Amino acid sequence: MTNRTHGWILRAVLIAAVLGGAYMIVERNSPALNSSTAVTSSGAFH
Amino acid sequence: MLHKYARLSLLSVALTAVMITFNHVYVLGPEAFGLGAVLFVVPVACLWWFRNTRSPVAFIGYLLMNLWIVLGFGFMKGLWGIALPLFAGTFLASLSTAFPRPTLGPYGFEASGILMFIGSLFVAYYASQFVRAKRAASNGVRLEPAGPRGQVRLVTSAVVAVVAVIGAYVWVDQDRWTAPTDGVVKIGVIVPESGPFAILGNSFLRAVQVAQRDLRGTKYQYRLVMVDVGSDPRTARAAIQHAIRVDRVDAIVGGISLFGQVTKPLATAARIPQTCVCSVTIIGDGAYNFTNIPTPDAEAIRWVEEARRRSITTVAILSGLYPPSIQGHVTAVKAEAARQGVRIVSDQTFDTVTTDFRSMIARARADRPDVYYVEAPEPALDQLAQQLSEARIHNFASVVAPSLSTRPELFEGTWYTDSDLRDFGFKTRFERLYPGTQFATHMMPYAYDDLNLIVQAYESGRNPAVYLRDITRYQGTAGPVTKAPGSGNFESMPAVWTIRNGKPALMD
Repeated sequence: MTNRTHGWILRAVLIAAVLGGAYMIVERNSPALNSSTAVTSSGAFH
Repeated sequence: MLHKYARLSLLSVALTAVMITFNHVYVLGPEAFGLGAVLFVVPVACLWWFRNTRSPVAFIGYLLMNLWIVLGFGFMKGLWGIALPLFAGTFLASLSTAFPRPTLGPYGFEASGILMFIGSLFVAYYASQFVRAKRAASNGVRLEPAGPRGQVRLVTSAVVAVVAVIGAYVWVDQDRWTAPTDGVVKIGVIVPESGPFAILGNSFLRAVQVAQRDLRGTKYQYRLVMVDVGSDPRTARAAIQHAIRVDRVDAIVGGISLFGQVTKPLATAARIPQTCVCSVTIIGDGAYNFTNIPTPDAEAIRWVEEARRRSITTVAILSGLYPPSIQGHVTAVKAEAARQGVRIVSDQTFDTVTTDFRSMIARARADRPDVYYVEAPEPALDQLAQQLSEARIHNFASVVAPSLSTRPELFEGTWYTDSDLRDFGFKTRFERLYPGTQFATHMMPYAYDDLNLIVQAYESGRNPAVYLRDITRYQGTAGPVTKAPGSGNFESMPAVWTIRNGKPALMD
């Protein structure tokens, strides 16, 4: 493998790590995924 | 070399334009494809023109498009608006409550935002190489790769830039205390004073006004800014924006989730706290927005507990589809009933124009339920209760709704869950102050507390949003209120009420 190929593999791995980290944060902070009633209740009596 | 870098530059522009388009579909909708077309077609046209004529105008035009992509989309939106809040914002919020937990969009939005930034780095790199190649070609010399000294300089400036940008973000992201201008704290009161939510809105307003009147010996002056949002959430947005931008309110107290949802992004953008008597828990993000009323889950737990105490094993549900919080209660009750082994034998919903419930009542009756769960807004609630009475059905129960009935005699003996307002002095004070007015008592203690929470924050000399994030418990007007660390929902246990002699009365 050339240095150039190594460089691109490294870039791809870094981008995948950044996007993977983003997925973990978004999933953990999404209220819709954590609450039973959050998805259904979207307006209010009070 | 010139052609090679021109091609690579255009390729990075095209790929970044795809990411920008994808990202902007979440914000602009189909119009994002127009934006994408401009970001792709204009650079291609400029480069084609430059290749054929070597026109400096075409070259500068191409570079300006690159600059727009790199600064506007890559750095401003991708890095500052998306990547830094996502990673640095989340990390900082985990360290200290002085930093708000960032508001995140769907994964596709966040991921394309990051890729927009990464793409723009390639755009910047290949544009600079393209410029160097053009300069070399114009001077008739060979393009030399950067020497070790040049590389060191590049790496050093990149590290300095990264540290500076992160430092700037940490500085900007932190919520700091600023003393109110002229010692006056302006608090926006966001509720409808007319329309179908008038009883709720006016009850909230009176409670906040009484809370303000009760203030004694405060360091600052607290002024209420009334924002009548009417009955339509779409027109409410302009009124709330006006209060934030023109009236420059320092904090917001609101009632009714329908409007709390509209206020949420506006309060977040203005970085001012909103405390809302809202049952829709997702409004409370724990950053700038906090809900304060028993949650649908808490109502459901108390409701099913009472049903089991009464040896109820089967329930028929008759519920309105609007406002959607009713379905929030219904969903929570169904989930809790399933957990506790209480069977829902009939589940019927109706829209806002239904006035004849007799066939629904007949269908529900056929399933021989132990109790009828009824919940609807006025006037459907009273019509339903009337028709149930005519069918000689009196065993019905609810969540909150009977307290808002304009004909409470129809609900004589009905049990329901609602806020635990044990302090009758609180209620009778309002009845004395505003004789003849119908109040939605269940929300008033929370409205009263909401104003006091903002006042306590300012009196303690702390940023009000940070103060609210830090609270985990307080003694409220309707009993103890708790909040889990990091949560945006103040939680309290509801109580079981009944209508006795045409008036709500606590049962336990």
